[in-house]
Amino acid sequence: MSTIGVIRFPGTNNEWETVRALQSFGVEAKVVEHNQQIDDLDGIWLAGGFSYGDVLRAGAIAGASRIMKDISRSGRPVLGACNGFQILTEADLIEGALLPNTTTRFVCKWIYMTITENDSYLNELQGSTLRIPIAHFEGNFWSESTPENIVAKYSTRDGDAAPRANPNGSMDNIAGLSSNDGRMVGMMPHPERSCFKHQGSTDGRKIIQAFLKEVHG
Amino acid sequence: MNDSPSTKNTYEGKAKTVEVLSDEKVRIIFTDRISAGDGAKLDTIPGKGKMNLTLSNRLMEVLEEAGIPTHLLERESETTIIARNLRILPVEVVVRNIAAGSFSRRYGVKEGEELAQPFVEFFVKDDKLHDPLIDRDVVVQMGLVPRDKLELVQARALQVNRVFTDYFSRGGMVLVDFKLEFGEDKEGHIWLADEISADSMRVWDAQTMEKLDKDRFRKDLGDVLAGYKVIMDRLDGIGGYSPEKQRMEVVVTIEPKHSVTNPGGEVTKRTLLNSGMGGIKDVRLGKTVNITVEDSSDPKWLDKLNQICKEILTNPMVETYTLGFR
Repeated sequence: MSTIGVIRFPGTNNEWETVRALQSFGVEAKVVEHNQQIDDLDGIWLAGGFSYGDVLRAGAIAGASRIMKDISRSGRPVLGACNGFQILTEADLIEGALLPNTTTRFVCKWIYMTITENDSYLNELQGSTLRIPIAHFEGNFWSESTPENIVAKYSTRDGDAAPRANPNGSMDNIAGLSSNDGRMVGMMPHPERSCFKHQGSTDGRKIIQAFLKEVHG
Repeated sequence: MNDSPSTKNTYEGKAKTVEVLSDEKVRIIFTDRISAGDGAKLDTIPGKGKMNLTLSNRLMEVLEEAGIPTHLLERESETTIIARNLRILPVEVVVRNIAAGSFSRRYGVKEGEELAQPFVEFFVKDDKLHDPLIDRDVVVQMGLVPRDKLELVQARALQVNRVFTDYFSRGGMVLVDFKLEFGEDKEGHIWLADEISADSMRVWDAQTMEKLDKDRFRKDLGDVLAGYKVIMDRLDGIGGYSPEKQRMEVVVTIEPKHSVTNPGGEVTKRTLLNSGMGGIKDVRLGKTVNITVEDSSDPKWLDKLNQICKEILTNPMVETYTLGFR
């Protein structure tokens, strides 16, 4: 059975709901501290929260940590949600930066996102529009030029990536991106918070399913 | 000097001769020549070279212990040292505690007047122009020394001043002012260079205010070397001296790039406009990081500092930074 490690930095606070969501797929999932080894893990989930209080910039301190270098070298599939996405950009594993929302407010709401054509393990969901919650202050994606590795955009319910569907000012409505090799995906929405009926949506399961498929090879 | 492989690369200064030995090393010969008024007054004082080398080495060793990196590698003989081969920065750095010399003449301040705080001046090394005072903005604009290195040099000079002020006062002497030169190695690291002796500083007896330095020569005040010897004897009289390790405060100023949205700045701008302050076009929020460096004795710490600025303190995609030193 595959083992997924949910990495916990000081300030991470989504680790247990993520473990619960993963376990519902019948895989082994456990919390792994940021100073532990990752050799026994088949897949890595960077969970949300506020690593190291997000001092300097969201995800900056965690992005510079040793475990991120280990994760980069490991070749294992990675999914970073929310702060996990911020950490991936700060670690230079995914391009761009996540700036404070243009509204300058913390945004906590349900959004729709549509999976675009991409080279990551999420490509099998291409064209799907998913209802998933977001909860962040720094989700405003910015890059010097339009990135190539977009995997998801904020959209209307009908899949239109219109400006009015953009909750945080992100360039081109970008909600998620992958690394150049497609092995790592980062997104601001929280798939682990839309896995059970009582959460209000189960669309997040599709994301986790695709991630686990990559893990199982 | 007889076995030197490259005596052809020899540079004659006013009081010293420098021989390039290799990419890494030079030999500096302390001669008995003495000059003043930019070479207008010249003489030779037997034993001066030896005396200057002894004091200079002593002071450099004290600075090394205080965590200030110097060019000194070893004493080779009574009048020669082996030092790092550096590109000497084209500005001389003068630190003043008390008004004297060109400062008094330039600003009409009476010699002996204590300055509110130590004061740093830069002079461009140019014989044709007679080494004039130069504004630090001009130093930067003319490309003589980049701004961050100039600031580093200034902070170093003030460190040196703190150490020497204490050291000389223990010997019953007042450090009026002194001149320093700095050089950079091939990697761009800054080291204190040249010599620090009674030729390059003003030192007065704390009680009698008798001048013990090169002003004796400039102003014909009697036996020049006798004054130099008093300085050395007084410092010898202190016995072992352990200076305090000098800290360096680094100020990293982080600014958001203009091409990047700055939502916090936007909100602040609206608030400022609402408060009735007109004429505001743009407000951008950045941050300042103050780092106190306890040990900066290895000049390579500056590389490490730049590395952490690029890799951790800033996100170079959306932010720029500048370094300040104090």
